[in-house]
Amino acid sequence: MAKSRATRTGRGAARRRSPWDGAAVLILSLTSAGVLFPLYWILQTSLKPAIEQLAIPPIWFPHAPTLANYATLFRQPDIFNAIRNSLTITTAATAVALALGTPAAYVLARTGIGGRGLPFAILLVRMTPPIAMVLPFFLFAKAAGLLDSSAAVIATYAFFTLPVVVWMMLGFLAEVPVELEEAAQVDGCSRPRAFLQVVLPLAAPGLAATAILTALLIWNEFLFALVLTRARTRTLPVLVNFLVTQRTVDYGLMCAMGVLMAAPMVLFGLLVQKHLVRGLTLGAVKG
Amino acid sequence: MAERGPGREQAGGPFPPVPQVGTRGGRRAGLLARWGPQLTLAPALGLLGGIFLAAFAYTVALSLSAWLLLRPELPRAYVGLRNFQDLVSDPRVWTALRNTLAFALPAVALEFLAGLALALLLQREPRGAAFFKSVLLIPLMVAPVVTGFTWAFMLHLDFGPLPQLFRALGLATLGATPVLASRALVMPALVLVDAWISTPFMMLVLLAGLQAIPPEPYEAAAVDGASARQRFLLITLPLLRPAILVALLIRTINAVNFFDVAFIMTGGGPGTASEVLALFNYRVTFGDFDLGYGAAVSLFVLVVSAAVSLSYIRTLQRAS
Repeated sequence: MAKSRATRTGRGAARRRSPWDGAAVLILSLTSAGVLFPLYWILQTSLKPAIEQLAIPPIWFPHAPTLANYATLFRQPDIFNAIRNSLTITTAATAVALALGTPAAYVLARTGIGGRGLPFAILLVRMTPPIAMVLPFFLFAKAAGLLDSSAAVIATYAFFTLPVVVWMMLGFLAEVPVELEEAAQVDGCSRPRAFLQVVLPLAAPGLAATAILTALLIWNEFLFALVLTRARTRTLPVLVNFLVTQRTVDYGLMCAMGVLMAAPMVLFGLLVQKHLVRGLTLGAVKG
Repeated sequence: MAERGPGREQAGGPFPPVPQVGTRGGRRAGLLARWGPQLTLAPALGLLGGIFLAAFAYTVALSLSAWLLLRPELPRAYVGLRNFQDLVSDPRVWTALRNTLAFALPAVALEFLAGLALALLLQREPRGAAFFKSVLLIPLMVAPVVTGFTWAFMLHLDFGPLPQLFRALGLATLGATPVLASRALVMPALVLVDAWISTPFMMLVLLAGLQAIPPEPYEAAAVDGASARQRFLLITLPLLRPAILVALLIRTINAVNFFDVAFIMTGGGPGTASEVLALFNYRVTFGDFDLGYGAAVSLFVLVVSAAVSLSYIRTLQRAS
């Protein structure tokens, strides 16, 4: 996945080695250590027994590693509910956003309807401050009697990730050569069928990257979940907030929770890191 | 996505001829061909546009009314521009705006400089570049609430490793200060946490920009005997300009709307020392449940955000 670009640009290979390269490795190593240290800290705390967590001064690695914190985590009354909510809401909202956004992106990529203005109008939704949208969404959900229902949260997340899907897929679909679907249509394939059976399979890696980035944004979202969910629909980020604001914070429990939330997304994210730039810049920069 | 299965089998090979349907189907196909694109776009655009406009219009209507959710005995009433008059004379608004700027400007500047430096280093394709790049991406994937909690823990005076590290480095005062409870240190701490999260984003975008620069200008410069500094200032920076502006635009908008990490780490405290605009807006709307005033503050945040975006987009258009 993370193959070096040197072979493609040819620049790296042609360049002479200089003392800067050693400095580069040194600086990048130190930076990487700085990036990884906080994550190491919660991982090792999650494996420490209580007495080691509260040692003063702190100890930097567990002497008697234990899974007790994870056992405590899974004994929390809300945890399975929150995991299930996060999983259903993430999956459903991602599916809705992809189902609505991918055909739209295909039309935009192939017909250019609405000129250059339309994609930017779509982007407007993404650029709007979330805090400015959360009150009307709260009141809409309240008026519809949908507070504490996953439907409201799913619809909200599908709405906010739709622009991401359209922009990412616009780029991926534009890269599929138009000749292939024209050939399919000459063979009598209808346009929707050519899209589903010819174009989409060729754009499958892009679709997967889009799905993962969308799921990542939804899984990690906090503000709307905080406002729209109650006990029944509470997602993992809201549960984190709930546990952090307890009178006494159980650090082992919190760290186990952090690892549980972060690990799957880090794994998925690294799988599609090649396409991450395009997703994070909504197509403005090709990675 | 269920359609992907059968599609994949056909993608590589020749397509089986599809039997032609009758005239009725043909006419339907004709109608679809004529309006198909519009019909395909309609659900996505209708939902996006409809909900967006409804939410915006509702916010504007709310901002012109008094509606206290915690006092149902008071009727919801139209009050004209009173919420905006309150906003202009509310010192907490200006504190929040000042805090937002005091957070966003140094955060974006730091992330840009660190991101550019890392991108330039990675561009040299040093040993292990792919590994470093993967590691640097990880903070982008961690939920901000988890990041916020993690750093609060790291800074804990007794159980956290950072104060211990500060003391070991001889910074006794810093090592004995509860950073997140200090008016002077809370904002720098939030800036550093944000830099941990978002420097990789800057690095990624700028690296993509660097890799898109063609080799020819550098070859020409080598023939003319340009120095490394001249090459950087006269070739790299100007050609990197679009990527720089995109990175700055996205990051500034996000920094102006900074919320999750501050909510978890400080809740705006101590006092209002780290109460940024989004936190202030949240407190008015969902703490006091003063919906009319909350809507007015939302529109103010929207205007600040839009002003930032427009100034960047102007520059971007002038550049290209």
